[in-house]
Amino acid sequence: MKNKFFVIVATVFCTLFLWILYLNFFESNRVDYHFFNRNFSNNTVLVFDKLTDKISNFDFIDNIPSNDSIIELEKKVFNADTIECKLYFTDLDFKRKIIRNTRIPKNCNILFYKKDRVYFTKEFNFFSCNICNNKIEKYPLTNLKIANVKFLNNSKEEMLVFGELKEGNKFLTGFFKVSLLNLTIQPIKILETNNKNQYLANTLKYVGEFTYSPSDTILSYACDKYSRIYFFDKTGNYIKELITSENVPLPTISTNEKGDSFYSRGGTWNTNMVSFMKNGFVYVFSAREIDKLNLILDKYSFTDLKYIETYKIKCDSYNSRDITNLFINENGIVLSFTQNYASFKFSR
Amino acid sequence: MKKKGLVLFAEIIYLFILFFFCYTAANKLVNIDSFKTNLIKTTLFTKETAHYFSYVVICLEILVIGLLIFKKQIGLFAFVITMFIFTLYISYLRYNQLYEVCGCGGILNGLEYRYHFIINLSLLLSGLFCLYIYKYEK
Repeated sequence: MKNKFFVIVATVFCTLFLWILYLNFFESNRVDYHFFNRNFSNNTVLVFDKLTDKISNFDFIDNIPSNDSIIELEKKVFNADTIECKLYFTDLDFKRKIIRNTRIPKNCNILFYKKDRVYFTKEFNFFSCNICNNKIEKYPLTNLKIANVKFLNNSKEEMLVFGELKEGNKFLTGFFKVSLLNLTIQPIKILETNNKNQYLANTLKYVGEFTYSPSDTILSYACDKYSRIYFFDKTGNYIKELITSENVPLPTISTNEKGDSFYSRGGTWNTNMVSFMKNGFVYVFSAREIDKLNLILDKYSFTDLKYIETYKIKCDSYNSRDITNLFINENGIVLSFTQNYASFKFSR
Repeated sequence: MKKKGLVLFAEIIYLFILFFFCYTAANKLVNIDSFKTNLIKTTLFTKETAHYFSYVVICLEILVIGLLIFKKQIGLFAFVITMFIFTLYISYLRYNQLYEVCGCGGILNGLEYRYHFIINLSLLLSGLFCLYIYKYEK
């Protein structure tokens, strides 16, 4: 009887152990890494110039998007309602550096800097703060929740935003042109229409960044976790969208009992970290590549949106997943990483 | 002499196992929301099932702790079975690329898969060792 029990227990344990081994040595064939066969080119479009340390000595520095400079935000002292900050400004050559002290409201989400003003959202409202006198202005864009902003290069105080607009009983998620002078909101490209508020889930799904490429006068919005890049002209009008070859689907979002939204595992992939345009081609720094020792730059034609080729770019030991921001001018680009910046010139 | 040493060693492991389960159960209970969120993130559980499952896991751990204190051998047997289930669970997550970081609680939170697997396997083998010593050597 005792022996029989021992045999049963030993058999169950051995079976479980074999299952554990199997699950650790093999991988489900349902797992898709969204890699694709790349056509690697020996030519290059970017020539590595230099690595530059971040200006601030703090470990965790946010870059504030702007139209013309690299801006670092260093949060120094936390008061009851405000945070005392230092803003470090530099040009893309890192020759001119300016440091300014300011105060910003606590728990705000800074989206953009333009002409002495920091634009931010707090509790879904849109504000600007003048960094010279700390005067805060609230914009009555009550039906629009803004997630991302890019000011258009004109004098009309117009910006292209990604967000959610409540229109009647519907919630429209997409891109809108907003005028801060006459407070108008014009839908430009709607990605989703929902019957209930999906702002938090959709900002996670479509998270990305705007880049204005001056040589091609094209504004693009590359989604970080969805293989789509949306293109707009310099006045903010929608042109077209590019589906990049790895074809990562929209991430799946889960919510907990408190209502917090987050990415589900197994259904979320980093894809296009940043993108820019040069001479009629779209260049995309892609995270969907097994190589972790090089930056992976995919080239697509803007005319027919077809994949052309890929460049491997050596830059210290960074890979595309390490990129946090991209800054661009006529001569080259600057990639921002956690600790430093890498400058590249366009090859001729 | 050798037998005495083995029994002493098994006793130390037994106390460690007891402490370890108390620690992770207490942490799960204190950070129950974070534990539930980790379950939901795997996509294997809905909001509702994660709610019930989280309490089932904690109750199971408390039951094992009770057994370990009052019925050592049965407790160790239950511990080994529980560790088998936990290891099978994290292995299944890895197999389907659903493992991100550990959500077991306390210092284990945020652990990479390979370390989590090594810890689980070590605890499992330690439990089997104790079970063997208490059953046949003591």
